[in-house]
Amino acid sequence: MEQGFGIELARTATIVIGAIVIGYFIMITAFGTYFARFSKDVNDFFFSGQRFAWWLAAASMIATGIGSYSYLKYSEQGYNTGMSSTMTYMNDWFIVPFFMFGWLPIIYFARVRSIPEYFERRFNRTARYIAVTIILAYMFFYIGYNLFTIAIALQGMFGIPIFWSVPIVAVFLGAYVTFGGQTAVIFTDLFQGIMLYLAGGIAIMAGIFALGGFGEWWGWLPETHRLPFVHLTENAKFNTSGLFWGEALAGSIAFTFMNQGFIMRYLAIKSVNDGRKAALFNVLVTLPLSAIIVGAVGWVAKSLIIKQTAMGGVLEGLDPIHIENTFHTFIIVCWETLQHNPWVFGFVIAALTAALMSTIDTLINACAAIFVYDIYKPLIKPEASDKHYLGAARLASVLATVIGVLLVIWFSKQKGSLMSIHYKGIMVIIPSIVTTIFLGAFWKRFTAPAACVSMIAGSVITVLSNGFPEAWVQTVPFLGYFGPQWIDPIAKFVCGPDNGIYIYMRALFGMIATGVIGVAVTFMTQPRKEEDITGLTIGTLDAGMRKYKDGKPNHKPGEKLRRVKVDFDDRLAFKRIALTSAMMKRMKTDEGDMVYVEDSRWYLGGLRSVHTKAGPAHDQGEDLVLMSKETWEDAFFIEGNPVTMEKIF
Amino acid sequence: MTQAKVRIQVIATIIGSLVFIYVYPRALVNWLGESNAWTSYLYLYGFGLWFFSLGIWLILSTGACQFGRGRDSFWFKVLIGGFIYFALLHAGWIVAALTVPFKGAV
Repeated sequence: MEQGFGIELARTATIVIGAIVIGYFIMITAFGTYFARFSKDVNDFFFSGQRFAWWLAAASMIATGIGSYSYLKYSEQGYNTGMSSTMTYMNDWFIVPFFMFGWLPIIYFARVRSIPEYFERRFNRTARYIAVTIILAYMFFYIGYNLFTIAIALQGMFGIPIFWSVPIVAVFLGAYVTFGGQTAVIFTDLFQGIMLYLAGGIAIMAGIFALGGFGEWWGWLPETHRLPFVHLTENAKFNTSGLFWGEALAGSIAFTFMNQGFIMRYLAIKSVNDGRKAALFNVLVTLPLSAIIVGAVGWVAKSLIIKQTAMGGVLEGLDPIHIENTFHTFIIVCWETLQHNPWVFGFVIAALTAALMSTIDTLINACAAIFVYDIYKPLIKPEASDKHYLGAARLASVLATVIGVLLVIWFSKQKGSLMSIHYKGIMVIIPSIVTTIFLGAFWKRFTAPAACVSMIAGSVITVLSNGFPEAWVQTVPFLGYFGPQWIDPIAKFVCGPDNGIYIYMRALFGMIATGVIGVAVTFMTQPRKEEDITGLTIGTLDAGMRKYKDGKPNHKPGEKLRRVKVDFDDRLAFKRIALTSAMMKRMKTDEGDMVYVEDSRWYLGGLRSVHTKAGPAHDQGEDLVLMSKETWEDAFFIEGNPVTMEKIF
Repeated sequence: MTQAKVRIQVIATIIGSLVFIYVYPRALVNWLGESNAWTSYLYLYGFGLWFFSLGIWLILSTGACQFGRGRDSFWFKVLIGGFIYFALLHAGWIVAALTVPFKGAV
């Protein structure tokens, strides 16, 4: 039967593919709920107790960064404009200094739980709730959008109506996030990241093989499609100048600085140094590789179509490939180059759903964090037990899932392509808050009233730059003054596209509007005292570090001690350890320094670990670490297993 | 550094940036034309270098990165190396795209 994605699936193939997808859903739900046991309290639920190794967090970010729409959207882009589809994934390095040495240490050392909490501590409570509104809008938008795109894919392939598929997917997804928390999210995302790369790799290799090898693929790819960048301004919806200002700057800052899901991943890492390693790996390895995985099928599709035309309309061993709707590129090319094999194709489709689950689980957990830390705890129930907050967090996860499901109703009524719906929303939501975060973190003079006014005014001006429907303007001509023409001067100034269709340039416009208002209001108002914002701006990081440690940081690089035996000493306070003088010398550790202790099996990535402080040296003669039973249990250590130790600072 | 010197430095940076943002792309388009593959490359990496340099200046001037403290020197080298890595990677990519013949044209 002819499906909505332009491929013909026999009934048996449909059943096989459906069974693989459902089997995958059940497997991942069971895998995720297993990790519920590692969430003792609300801190574990959201941040896994700042315990994980960099590679675990970095690997789990692979799946978080690839949404269900990525394969469809980037394969389409790859088919239309070629390898420049990688641009959005490979232009993040410019903001890395701001993140590695600015934003990451600020939020880590300040022990910030959520981005809105940062706003209250840096500015005031009003700023916090403006930020809550904008960030929740951003995250709910993404949850709803991801559910909607996968529903479109499932409807296209299997004919399942959206209003059936979305609740079913949400039930599986909500189950493990609700019970497992951040630990479940990290481990399932790690697994799903491997699946994504494997499935994407299979799809690409099948295409290359069908073409006759790598040389054939490159040879049949037109020059325009081989280039890593598109024309500077020609394509109204995809051009280099717009992508630089709107995506490389605004988009990358939004994704790195204000995406609560990503921020929580960084806060789950054991130290800032490991956070930097994760950031480095993410930008240097993960993003370029992900760009290939999601876009390469489109590049292969272009070569296939050109070669097929040159060879008289058919390639040896393949049915003729027709791509009428480029949005279907990924599905059509996979199905054809995999020679209609339902098992392998089913696996690739399961990976597509994995992309959905791994993006939404992070967002649901992040929404729950904001609900608990920014709404429930400060406004509804300030004094309650940890168990109570853990319950509230789980309830908030369910609530976030339900809101995402309800938003699908709204998405299903929108007109226009998936791309246009996506960017119409995101490029309006992000500019004001991104600019405010940036000014707040890097300019200590920036004031609380300026933050509040610029966030509200910046958002309103950005929304108004969309203009009003023609019918409204005819009735009320004054409304004609609002619209994309506001963006014209900025686009001209930076030599951007000059065509009135501003997708990425709107973000630059919003950032400039917010920035100008913020700077103007700042000079008219009084800044907060320096001691009130210690550790919350880049210029006060040293003080923030001291506050975090509750002592003077020890930056001397020391040795990492491996396979050290543990013994109990219940005279030691909770999260205090004692080492021999020789061990302390090797680690260059003094009394009071922070020491990270983890199970010696590196592949656990810190799942069984604890942050401690070094106490006075013991003299038991043997190279062993002493700690109380309570500390040992808190770290989830297993009896008889040695540990690895390293000084944090 | 005195408050006045910092203020002058900030104002000079803002004016310099605005002049650069206005002049640089125009000079680039006049020199190579809008359709040249290297125009997009130089646009991205020219403005990218400008923004990246602002970040480097900020982290050094505020003391967020201090040479000789912990692993700061190492991470600073990584920052510079990463920029060069991406710039060379994209340059090599363009060269490969322009030099290998396209079979469809034969």
